[in-house]
Amino acid sequence: MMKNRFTAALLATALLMSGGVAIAEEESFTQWWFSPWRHKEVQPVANKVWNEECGSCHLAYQPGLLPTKSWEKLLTETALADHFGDDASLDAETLKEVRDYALANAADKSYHKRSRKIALATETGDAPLRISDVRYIKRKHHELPEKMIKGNKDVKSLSHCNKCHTKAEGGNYDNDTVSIPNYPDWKD
Amino acid sequence: MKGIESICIAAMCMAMLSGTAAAQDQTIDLPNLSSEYVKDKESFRLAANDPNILKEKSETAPAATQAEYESPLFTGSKVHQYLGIATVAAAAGTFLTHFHPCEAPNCGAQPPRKTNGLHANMGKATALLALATVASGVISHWDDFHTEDGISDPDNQHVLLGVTGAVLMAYAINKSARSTVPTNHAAVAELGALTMVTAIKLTW
Repeated sequence: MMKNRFTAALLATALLMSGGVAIAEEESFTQWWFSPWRHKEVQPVANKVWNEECGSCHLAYQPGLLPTKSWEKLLTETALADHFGDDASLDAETLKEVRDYALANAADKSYHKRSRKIALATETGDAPLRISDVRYIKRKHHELPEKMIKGNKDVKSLSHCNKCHTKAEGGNYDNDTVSIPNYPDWKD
Repeated sequence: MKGIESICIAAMCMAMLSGTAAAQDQTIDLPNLSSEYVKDKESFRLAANDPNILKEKSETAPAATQAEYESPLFTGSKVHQYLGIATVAAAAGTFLTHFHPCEAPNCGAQPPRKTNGLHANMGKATALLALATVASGVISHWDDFHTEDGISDPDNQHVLLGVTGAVLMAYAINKSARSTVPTNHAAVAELGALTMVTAIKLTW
């Protein structure tokens, strides 16, 4: 009897571990469900072109921070010619690669918890063009006083995620990784 | 038994500890975040090697750089996480140590029912850990639960399933602990444990 129980426990562990091995760039529900790896945050960027093109001007925001409908609007020739007031035009081939990567890894395609929350928050209504316009992101930051963001010379704007989210490059936006410059005791 | 008591005391201490890391100030004037977006043209000019911005940059004092940030080992959120994992481990231990009495006619004399053995004590520890997990979750994640987000929100699902799992396990263990005869409590306890595992998975 005891032997059977241990065999069952071992089998369950092996099943969980095998799920993790099967992780691909685009996960299926089953792969996610049986994966022992954490999916709490946002899928880190795993595309060299995305990192180089987007990351040359600002943090290479993970595609899982916005839904498909937002990336569809943001990543067009016309939209990039006036990317929040600046010309961020890309050649056709690069644009296709960047766009395809964003659409395949957008919030509504991801099993990562924070992306799922963003997808739910943007399910209805117009596509947000800024991550800071997503209802969920707004709510997560609404208790922060202006002096810590806009009035903070080392932060200036919510769009500079990595100024406070120390692990933002790796897709980790957990509260425990937040350190607001000039406000070490921001939680108090 | 002393060991179980120590686990229980440690679980309660951890639940209380999680509260110290969860205090947050309330502000009355909430900023409109969309208005806080500042166009960072400087970065674009830097990327394009604009000679003027490079000159401007060299004349200004360098921005204070943050030292490599190390996340603290104990925060409210982490204590909740550790307690959740400990609950599942204790539930697995309880399952593995259960004794199923022989009911066939040729079994002979069966040992008397133990309400103080390893299985019983592990069950009690599981229930206490489950309740401590719920308590620490309430303290450290109270602002992640929003009814307006509906049942499909992963945090809402986590709360509902986590609390249900803890209640089911506590009910099963209490039912068995208060009975002088063997009870059918395993199915409810196992359902509770599975519900809790599902709750953890949804936000893992």
